[in-house]
Amino acid sequence: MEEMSGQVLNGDFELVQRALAGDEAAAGTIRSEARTAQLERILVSRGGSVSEAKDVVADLWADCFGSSGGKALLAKFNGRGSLEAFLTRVAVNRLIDFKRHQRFQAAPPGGEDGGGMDDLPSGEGEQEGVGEDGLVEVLRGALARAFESSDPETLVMLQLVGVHGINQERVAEVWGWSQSKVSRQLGSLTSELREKTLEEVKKLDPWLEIQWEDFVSLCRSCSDFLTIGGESD
Amino acid sequence: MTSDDISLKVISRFLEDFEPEAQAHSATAVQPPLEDKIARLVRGELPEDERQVLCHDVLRNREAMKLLVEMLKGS
Repeated sequence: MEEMSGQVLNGDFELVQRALAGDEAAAGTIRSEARTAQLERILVSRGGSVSEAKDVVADLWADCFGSSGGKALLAKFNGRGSLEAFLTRVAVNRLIDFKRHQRFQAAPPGGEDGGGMDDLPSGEGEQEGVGEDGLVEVLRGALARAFESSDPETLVMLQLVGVHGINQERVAEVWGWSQSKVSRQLGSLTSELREKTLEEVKKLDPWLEIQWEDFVSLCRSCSDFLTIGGESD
Repeated sequence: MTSDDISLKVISRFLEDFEPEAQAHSATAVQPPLEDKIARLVRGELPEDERQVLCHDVLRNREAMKLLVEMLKGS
């Protein structure tokens, strides 16, 4: 990986640049059958139907190369994470937007999936900025509720140890606890936060199937592609 | 670093990156009474009831967390 002008360049970034410059082979590599199938599988595993997954991915490819009239979505790929993470993040976001849109619509037309994909939001969130991002909303909302209902003292300890690198021995000294008590408290809070966060996701979007590892991975890709709404503007 | 630590770092970064403006944690300068309580905590002199209140405040003020970390690292 090479760092240049604040942007991390990697193989995926170069591939995307070549595709955007009109290199058909590069574009073909990006929207390969294998990648299409992989994205569809991810969406189905997150709770989308097969037809929703196919429609989301088909729209995603069209927008990636600007063939639906707007700016090419791939121009927003900054190379700070993998292309796979970027595409997964956008696809899951669109599925969430669609499902929410569908939920708020009265009596959607019939069909095996409860409605057609004509109303699929085509990346408005990405165009308008992170404030409109359904995926961020779900992740942030679930975390905020899980944190709110947790013990503030242990949350401070958790941040000191996990984020700021203060060792447990020092924390134990300050709190006047044994190190094993600090360790138990932290372990128990971490498990509690996982459970609560996933429970909150279910409350916010009951259809969304997500494991803790997926949750963390989506958080990471949201941060990596923070400027998704403004990178190419 | 354990996978829990990595997850926590990722989540903390996410929350900082996407903190809603309306709920943004205050980053105002730490006032002397708060600074004093943080110093007492670091010295292990803060009673449990005051510690609970302080932790609540620290979670809502990024500067206070920063000061706590600095004091812990410096002591």
